[in-house]
Amino acid sequence: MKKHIFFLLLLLLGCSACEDLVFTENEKTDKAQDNFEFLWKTANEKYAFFDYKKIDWDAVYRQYKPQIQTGMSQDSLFRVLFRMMNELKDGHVNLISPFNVSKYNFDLLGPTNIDTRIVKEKYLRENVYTTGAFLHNAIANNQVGYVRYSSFSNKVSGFDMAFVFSRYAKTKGLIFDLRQNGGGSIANVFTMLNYLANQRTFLYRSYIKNGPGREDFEGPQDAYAEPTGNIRYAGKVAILVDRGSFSATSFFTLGARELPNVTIIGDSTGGGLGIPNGGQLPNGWTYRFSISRTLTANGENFESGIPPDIRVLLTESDRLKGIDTVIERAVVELLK
Amino acid sequence: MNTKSNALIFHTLLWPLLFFFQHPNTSTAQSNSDKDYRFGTFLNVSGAVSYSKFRDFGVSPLIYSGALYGGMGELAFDRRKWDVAIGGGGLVGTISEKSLFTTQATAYAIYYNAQGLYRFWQKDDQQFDLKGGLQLNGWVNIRETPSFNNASVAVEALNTVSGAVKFNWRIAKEQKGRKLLWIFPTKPGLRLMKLSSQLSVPLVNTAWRPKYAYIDDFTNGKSNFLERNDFTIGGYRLQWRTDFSYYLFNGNIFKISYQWDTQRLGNTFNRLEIGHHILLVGFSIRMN
Repeated sequence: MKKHIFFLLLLLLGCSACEDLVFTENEKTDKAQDNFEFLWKTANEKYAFFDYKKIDWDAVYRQYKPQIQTGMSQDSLFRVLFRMMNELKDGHVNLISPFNVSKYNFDLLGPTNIDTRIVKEKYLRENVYTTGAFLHNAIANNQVGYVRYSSFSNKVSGFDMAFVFSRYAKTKGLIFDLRQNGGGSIANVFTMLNYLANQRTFLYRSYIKNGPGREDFEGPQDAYAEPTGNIRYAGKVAILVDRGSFSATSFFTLGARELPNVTIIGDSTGGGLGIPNGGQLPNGWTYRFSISRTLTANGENFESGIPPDIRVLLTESDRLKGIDTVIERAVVELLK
Repeated sequence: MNTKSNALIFHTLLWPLLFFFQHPNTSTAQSNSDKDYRFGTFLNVSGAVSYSKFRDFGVSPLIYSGALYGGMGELAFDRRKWDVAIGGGGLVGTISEKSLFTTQATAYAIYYNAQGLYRFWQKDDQQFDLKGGLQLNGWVNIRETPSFNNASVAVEALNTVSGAVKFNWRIAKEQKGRKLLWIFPTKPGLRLMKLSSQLSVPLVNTAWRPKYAYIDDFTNGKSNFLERNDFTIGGYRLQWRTDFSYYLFNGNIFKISYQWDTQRLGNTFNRLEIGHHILLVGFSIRMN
């Protein structure tokens, strides 16, 4: 009997060894060359905006390949890959290692079009209301409601929107200040747009990569604002943005453009209308870059930034007087 | 601990054990019964620990591995000519990849199995037999890897129709009274044991899993990552399961099983490689 059991166990072990047929060779490696090739190739096949940004990725390969040396340090490799990925000029591109994170500073493409101290002192003031992620108060002799929302990472609820609408129901206009709002959860975009829309409204359409070719996309996936809640704001709405308004904020801005009572004021947004997809290199570092693109109904691609309806930049003279040029212009537009 | 707590422990933990070892309908020793206790209908309940490996090329070229824990249940009809079983279970745990630093993922695996096998060979009144037939089983896997940002969640269903062959070796041995595992006293009598081994090879292997781009939060505000899944047929899978059954005199069974289940599927860009080594320890309660 023992002989039979031994034979059976041997057979079992032999069969388990067949696992090597399933698991191909372990690709884990710290070799600089292998990791460079892997990242370049993955981006080459999956990144969504080569054509739109007119990036010659093969030329990028030729530029950075000679900088990869056998035995180079992890830090040196990271710096080369950092520079290579920044050629994509995309705030949704990151390379993440235990010792550093690469990022593209999209917000430096334009001025920081807000002075938060002025906003706090002159417009929000000491009796500021804090409702969820919103800081708000009435301005311009209570004719306009001003709402500061600094990050789409902070949850917005239907209650927050309803409270703001109800508090400023008698005003002529409402300002949503999204300057330097770097994005966050897209769910908050729809919570807000669904309250701002009076009827089902087409916002934009998105396409997602479905193959390695430059134009291998599937879609469209259309996005709509679906009115929710019983309360609506009857006045005009101004959305304030600048180059630091990125990702979810750009999605919100793109959608808000389709609403009839909304005006976009300030600087172009930072863009970021491609959804970033994450993954891992053979050395364990992780990365992300955009694998989708979002267009307007007319097919316009604002990946590099959504232009405002009214371009207004903060002036130094106003700043010295403690005035926010962009808010003041929005008030004028709303009270017209 | 108060008296109520003690009573609760007794009823929730000890009573099922007493039930298991002293089933009222089968309190007679096997050797004294006309019934052939090698066969019957059983409800199997097992605790499971698995050493599992995953590699999902859609997001990483690296192999993640770790221990998953859970349980399995099965209703088994062990007949002379037929073996029919239906059951399932689940595993959960943390898998990781250790490079310069450790990347972790939480893995959930839900398993189901249904099979029908017919005897096509036997020897010595079924001391040995071979049964063959069809098996339908599959896994629903969920992997959550926060480091992969918007590609952090992968949900997939992997289903296989297999051809299966099972070898049963039934052992009957006269034994003296002793203690099983130095704990459980056993009566003298005819002790039954069974060693079974089953190999399954796929006839149809299917996968419903993420497509080219993994993403779980898309631009219409509806986080429905399942929309990004695709159904494919192909790949291959191998399963080998070995059970050791130790029949108690009351007809119930103490069972230790080892299940090896490995598969590869998907296309070059999202190829998936999975291996489970599952150790099951449990009881089979006789239902008839």
